Amino acid sequence: MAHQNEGGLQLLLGEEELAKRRGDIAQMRMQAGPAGYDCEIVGRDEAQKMLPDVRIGRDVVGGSFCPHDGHVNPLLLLRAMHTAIRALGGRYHTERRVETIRHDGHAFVAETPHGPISAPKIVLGAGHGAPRLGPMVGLKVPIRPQRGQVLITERLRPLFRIPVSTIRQTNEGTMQLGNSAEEVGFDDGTTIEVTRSIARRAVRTFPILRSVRLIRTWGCIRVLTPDMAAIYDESQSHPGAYVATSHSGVTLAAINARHAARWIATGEMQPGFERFSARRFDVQAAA
Amino acid sequence: MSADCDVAVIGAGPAGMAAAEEASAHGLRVVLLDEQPEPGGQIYRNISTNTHSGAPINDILGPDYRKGATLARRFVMACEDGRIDYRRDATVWQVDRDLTVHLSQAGGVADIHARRLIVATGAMERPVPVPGWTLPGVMAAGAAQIMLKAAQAVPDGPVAVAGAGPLLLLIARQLVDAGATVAAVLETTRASDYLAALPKLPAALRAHGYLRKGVAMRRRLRKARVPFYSGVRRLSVAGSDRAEAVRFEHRGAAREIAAATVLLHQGVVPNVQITRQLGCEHVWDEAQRCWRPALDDWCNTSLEGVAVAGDGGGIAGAEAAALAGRIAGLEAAHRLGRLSVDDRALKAAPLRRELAGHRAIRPLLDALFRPPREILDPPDAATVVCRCEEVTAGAIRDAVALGATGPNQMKAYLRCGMGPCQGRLCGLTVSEIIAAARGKPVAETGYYRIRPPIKPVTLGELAGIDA
Repeated sequence: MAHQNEGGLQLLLGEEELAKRRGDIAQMRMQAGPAGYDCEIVGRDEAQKMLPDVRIGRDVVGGSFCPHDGHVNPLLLLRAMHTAIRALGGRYHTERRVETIRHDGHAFVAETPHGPISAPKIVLGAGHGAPRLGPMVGLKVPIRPQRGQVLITERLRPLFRIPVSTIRQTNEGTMQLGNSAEEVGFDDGTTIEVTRSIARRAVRTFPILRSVRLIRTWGCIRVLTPDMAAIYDESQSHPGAYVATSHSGVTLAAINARHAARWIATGEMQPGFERFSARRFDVQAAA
Repeated sequence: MSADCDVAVIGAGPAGMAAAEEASAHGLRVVLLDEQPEPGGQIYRNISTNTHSGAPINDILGPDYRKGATLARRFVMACEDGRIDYRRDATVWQVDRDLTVHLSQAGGVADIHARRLIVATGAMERPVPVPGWTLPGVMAAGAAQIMLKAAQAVPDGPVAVAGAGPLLLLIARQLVDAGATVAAVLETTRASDYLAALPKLPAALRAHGYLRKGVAMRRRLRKARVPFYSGVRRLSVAGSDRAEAVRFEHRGAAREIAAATVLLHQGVVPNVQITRQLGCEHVWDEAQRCWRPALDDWCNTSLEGVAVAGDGGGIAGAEAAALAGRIAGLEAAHRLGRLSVDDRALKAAPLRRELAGHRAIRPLLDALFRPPREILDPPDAATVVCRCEEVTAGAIRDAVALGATGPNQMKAYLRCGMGPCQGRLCGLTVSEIIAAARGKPVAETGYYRIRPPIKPVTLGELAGIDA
């Protein structure tokens, strides 16, 4: 899966970005309290030392380094999960859009155009389909769509020894650029303004990218909660019905596969996991 | 946004040249964008230089090629008169739904906003994924023809020409005349295809000119003593690091013929990259075994303001393309207030009559030169399908077994179609393989979602930072 977990770097262009990043880190530290928040501002020279195989641009004033950062190839991760599900005896049914969910007294029954599927427990991992299905089993799923645009380049020799945020190189050698955020509903198109600004930032950060060919751009819809943190919840009215959602399933894959799966299967909950219930938004609304 | 022109035409083949000329004749401001240094498209590539030089290449390429000269001359005149703003060496890499065209030219980028768009990007060769097709020395037959037109160059011999389609014999004949050593012509067309095509013959007789040409080409090849094999099966190219021989079955016997160059051809299909990228509606053409944009009688796509003229809207050949270009030009003039409904109909009527004649032959050709199953859905698991990412037919079938339902899911499983060619070389095959493996029609299986850029552009160009 090309998983690498030896820390990651975010590069900052100009003093303003540096000051903002400092502020963000301070706020995260405050929120984390005694648990701490391992992320340090590094100077330009130090950042360059961490990336000895590529020259950073004039406008890079420094960056932030987090030792816990890492990355994984999302396509390989997806395949690995499909292979593992099959190996563990799971069955993957394609083209089975769930129309309704009900409980027949013994089990949940998901109705699909190709017949029902029933199970004692049901987990909504349906992305933007979850708000439609949730209320059928007493779950509120307050999520909204947010568009991100990404640029993919041709393959290059390995440039980075550690992943760089928003300018990432996959194990195949392609560069994946950008982390735009737009509130445009479910329009997953791309726009020249955004792709241009992503290209500009990439070239300013690493001048070598100027002559690199762009192969593809795409827009994709994130699944975002009001506070951008994940929702893991069990229905109060329909015990055995769960929801697990948030951007991104790749970033949170390890949590989903370990902690969330164990909690759903056994009821055993990691301390603090209850804070991810969607009920936190009811409290905010009341206050 | 204010418009830079009334009509932007993409492509200077017969359809594009005719569309631009017709639209400009009605007083519209026309910009024509083309990748090549000279007008003509692929079919009339290098037409002005070649016909002007009077070199023997003109005789080799034949009268059908020379027909392009008149069209090109009229187009060039309209450009010289300042009626058409012709931009050569311009690569269009993105078109927005508001009809802004993004292009690169001479290392820089520009955008042009048009009130109407006529896409005339023509056809491309159908991929022919047989074992060994990725070896050096294996080429699309059309690419060899382009070399002939553009550089008067013939490929290294001995040359084997293999496949099906009206172009196959033409190219073989042109290569023989140009002095290439043609070791063999291998036709995948079978006796059963001829039988299947028979019922279409009466309609095709209206276009008897085409049929006569086919007979004449065969005669010329026989005279040159080029070995000719019909109904070949299990075609493959052998060689360790380049093509050395072509292998096939003929009348139940395995055969091998030495060849340094193997030219493969299974007909042409519409180049739909721009209309796909724009999100126009497309339909599956069962007879031609390809996708084409859904068009109305006036060449309009499902997206307001966007028309397609020529082979990009369905394969009908160069002369039909020029006629469709005129119809699209008339439609542009009508929609932009330069031509009444009645005048549009009046001017289009003779064009439509002529067009019907050219289209009459198509059902026969489609039935006769239908690509064999083993080309559409390669049976050998090791055959490479996506060349950019080196994905094999077997890997695609395995991914279907794992749950991939369509070409776009296949990207996530295998990176299939995610390379620099943007799926142009594998898209049709991938859809066919998935459809066959799932027992579903191709029409339901769908096609890659094409995202910009449709042609590679550098980050520096996109960023607007000079190289």
